[in-house]
Amino acid sequence: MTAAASASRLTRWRRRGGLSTLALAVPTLVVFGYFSWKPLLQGMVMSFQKWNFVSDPTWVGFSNFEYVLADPLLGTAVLNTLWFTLLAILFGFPLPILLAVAVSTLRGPSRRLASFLAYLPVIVPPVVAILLWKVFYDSSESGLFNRILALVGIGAQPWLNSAASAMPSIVLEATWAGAGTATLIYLAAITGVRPELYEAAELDGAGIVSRAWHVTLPALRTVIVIMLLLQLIGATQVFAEPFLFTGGGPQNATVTVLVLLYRYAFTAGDYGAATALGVLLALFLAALSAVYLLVTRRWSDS
Amino acid sequence: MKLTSKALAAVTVVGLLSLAACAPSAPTAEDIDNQKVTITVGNQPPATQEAELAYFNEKLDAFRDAHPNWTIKTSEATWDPQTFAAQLAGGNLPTVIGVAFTEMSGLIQRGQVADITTALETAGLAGSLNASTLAIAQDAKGQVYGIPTDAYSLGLAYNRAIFEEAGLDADNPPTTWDEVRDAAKTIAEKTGKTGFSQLTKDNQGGWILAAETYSRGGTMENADGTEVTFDADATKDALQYLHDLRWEDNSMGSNFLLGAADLAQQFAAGQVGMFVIQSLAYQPVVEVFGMPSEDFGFTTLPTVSGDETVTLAGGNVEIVNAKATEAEKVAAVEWIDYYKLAKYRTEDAALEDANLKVEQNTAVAIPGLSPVSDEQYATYLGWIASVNNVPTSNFQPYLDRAPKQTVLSEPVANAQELYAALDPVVQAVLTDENADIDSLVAEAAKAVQGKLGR
Amino acid sequence: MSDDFRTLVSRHDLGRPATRIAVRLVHVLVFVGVAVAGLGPLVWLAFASLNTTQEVLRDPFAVWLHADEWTNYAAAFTTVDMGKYLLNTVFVAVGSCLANLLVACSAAYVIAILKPRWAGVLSGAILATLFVPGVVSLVPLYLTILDVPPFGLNCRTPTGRCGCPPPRMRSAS
Repeated sequence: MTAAASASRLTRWRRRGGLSTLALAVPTLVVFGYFSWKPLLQGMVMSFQKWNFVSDPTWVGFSNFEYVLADPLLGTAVLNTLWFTLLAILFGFPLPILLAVAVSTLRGPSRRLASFLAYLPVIVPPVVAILLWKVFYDSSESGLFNRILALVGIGAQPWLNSAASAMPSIVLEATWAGAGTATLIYLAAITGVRPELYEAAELDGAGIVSRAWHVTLPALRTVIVIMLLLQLIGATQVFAEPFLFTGGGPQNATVTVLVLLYRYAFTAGDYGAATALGVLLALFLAALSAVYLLVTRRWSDS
Repeated sequence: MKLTSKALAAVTVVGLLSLAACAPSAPTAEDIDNQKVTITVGNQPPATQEAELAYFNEKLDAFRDAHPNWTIKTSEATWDPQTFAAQLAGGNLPTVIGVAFTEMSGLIQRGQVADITTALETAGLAGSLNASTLAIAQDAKGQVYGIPTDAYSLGLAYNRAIFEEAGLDADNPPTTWDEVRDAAKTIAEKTGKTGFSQLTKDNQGGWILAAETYSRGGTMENADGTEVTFDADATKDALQYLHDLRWEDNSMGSNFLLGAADLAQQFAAGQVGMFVIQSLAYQPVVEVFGMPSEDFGFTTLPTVSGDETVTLAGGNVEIVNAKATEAEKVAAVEWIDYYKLAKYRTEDAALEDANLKVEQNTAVAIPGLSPVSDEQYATYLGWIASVNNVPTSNFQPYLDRAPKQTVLSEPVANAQELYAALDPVVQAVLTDENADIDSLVAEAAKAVQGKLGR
Repeated sequence: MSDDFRTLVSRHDLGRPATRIAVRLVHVLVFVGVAVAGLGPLVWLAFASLNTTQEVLRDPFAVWLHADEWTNYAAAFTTVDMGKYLLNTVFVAVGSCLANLLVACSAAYVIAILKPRWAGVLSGAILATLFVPGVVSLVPLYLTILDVPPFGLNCRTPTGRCGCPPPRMRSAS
């Protein structure tokens, strides 16, 4: 490396903030490095070990991965997780956007009241919310939801008690619990849309729906792209809902990847298998995110 | 065979250890009493349970006085599978902690619990424990890994008020599975309530199914835990039975994803006539969920013919931290004995314990199995009979038949995983009318067989 | 107030009766929807909290008929020691909020505004932590927080009790 080249590199470094940039990144590096990346790497090492936490761990190569991949329940868990993700995105992705656009057309106090009401479910602690919905989902005729359905002439539904309807029931609650946060984020982003754009579109003769489609949505592009990715990752790692609602039942219909992972770690005490499955899931999500960001890059940059 | 230096070192260490164990200078209880030993005892009652905490502290002070060289620390930690491994790895798992019977096989298999065989001998307790109850804490070679302190056999809990409402005799509950079926049908028809219900979640579906299999003369695993044996008629009959109650009689209600708390709640709310559970369930059902105690009825697990029954036990085992030294193990064992088992030995201790529980409005002695010898247990029940706040007459059907029941241990290998594999099978027969029992059981058996020995 | 009108729906739109009715209809639907979904379960919860356990279990539809069990609230503070737990919650909420603000704001500023060459690597490394389920780092994280050497902090208190309980499996969504 020549002196000139290194000097110009130094200049570039300085122009981008140099030391001060690095200093500003220190909290992130320390906190993530010490409390996130280090334990994560150590955990990944455990996927190649068998360890009872008493004696020294023994290295077992890929045998934990082989064990996990040979588990007949893994296929079920993957399919269930994909099914949940599909349903959760199908309902949980467009709903907050529509809700945010609709609420944004309200004015003054009524707008604040509507966004407050939409956010209320988020205030309920997740475990409380799930236990609450479990009471509502009582599948006898005296269950709350079944009573309401009876008022409009619909017979009692099995809700969580049937392999077919258990997952959709879980998705319904998850959508209810998660929509508020997303709605608020979209609302905040909509507030940033420049009013001149609406006025210009209106002068061009665009109707309300057309303005929403051609002005509001494009303005939300970057937010939508990142929100969808976060929802995808969150849905793939769904745990509390199936765990507390059904424990994976009936007939394993709601065993998700994380429920299976939980069973490895805490029912069987097999951290090797649990961390191996965790690593496999992480690799899948990393690949998914990479493809996703690549595919959406052009659209979100344009 | 290739001996690496590490393996060689291990062999040497093992050799040295066994030498040390055989050496004539093995420490006596007195030697250890004179040593500086520090242990941490778990399950300290939280501050909100004032009376229980006071009793704990009183016992603790007395124990400290009796062993001035020992340092006894306390911890409110209770068994929690989510934190157990982390605490074990972090070295701050208490020396003594209580776990459920079902956890024992896994803990022993993984080497996560101390072998206290020698410590029990050193402390002079080896002979005083009930051999049949102790089996839960032993491995195939007979080494001891814990002290059972409370044990209850699985039987049939029934709501006496519902029985009367349906015109059934609450003092003569069913003794055979056929009678249970008839009673369940009568309850469903006469009262519109659930006649018979079953745990199906959190590995308890498999647990109860194991007891039902035992009651029909079947087994879950062979004696040394190398082979799955539940792919047989007893288990399939038990499942077919549930299927028939659900789909032919419609006497099992409409909720089939039930953990212990869910079912205890429904039972307490007077929505369920009968279910299989351990007698200890009296406590949550009456004390937590508010069922009137006179409505709680309990009898032994039904059988096919009404003869002597075979059942499964559940309860609490006190275990010792796998990282404890021999001296710490002895101190731990002495504490467990002093805190948990002394009440069976002297009338004073028995009454002190009983009065405390009366004061706290919690059950004194629910009829169950004895952690100590049967005579000692009978004597203890005599001591506390006058203060016992549990309506033992409601347990009369159980008490009448209990002496003739055989209590078997849980599967010796991978018990929790075996139960976990059977939960979905139980759920299937209850939620799918066309469930194929033979293939479901065969699949579950195959899955569990693959986990044995891992 | 003219600023308030510069949204998706303009004053001019509302001048047309058909559009005005349609917009109002959407607004009413949105309000009914969020009120039922957002407030409904909470109202039921509030009524249920004033019933005894037995009453809620026996007939969950009738909780408003006998909502008079005010002792539940007293019991929450006396027997369960809610006050202490609320204080703990406040402590955790404020602490993690401040830490989050510090880390998230500084990281976002570095990545999005200063844009050093390694910004991509940093944001990738942060995103990557989302991929790995909590169980993987459960035990190592616990060992990490037991001793935090640079600050001389540790949770092994002199009484032998651990000040910080091990982390648990978090709700993932």
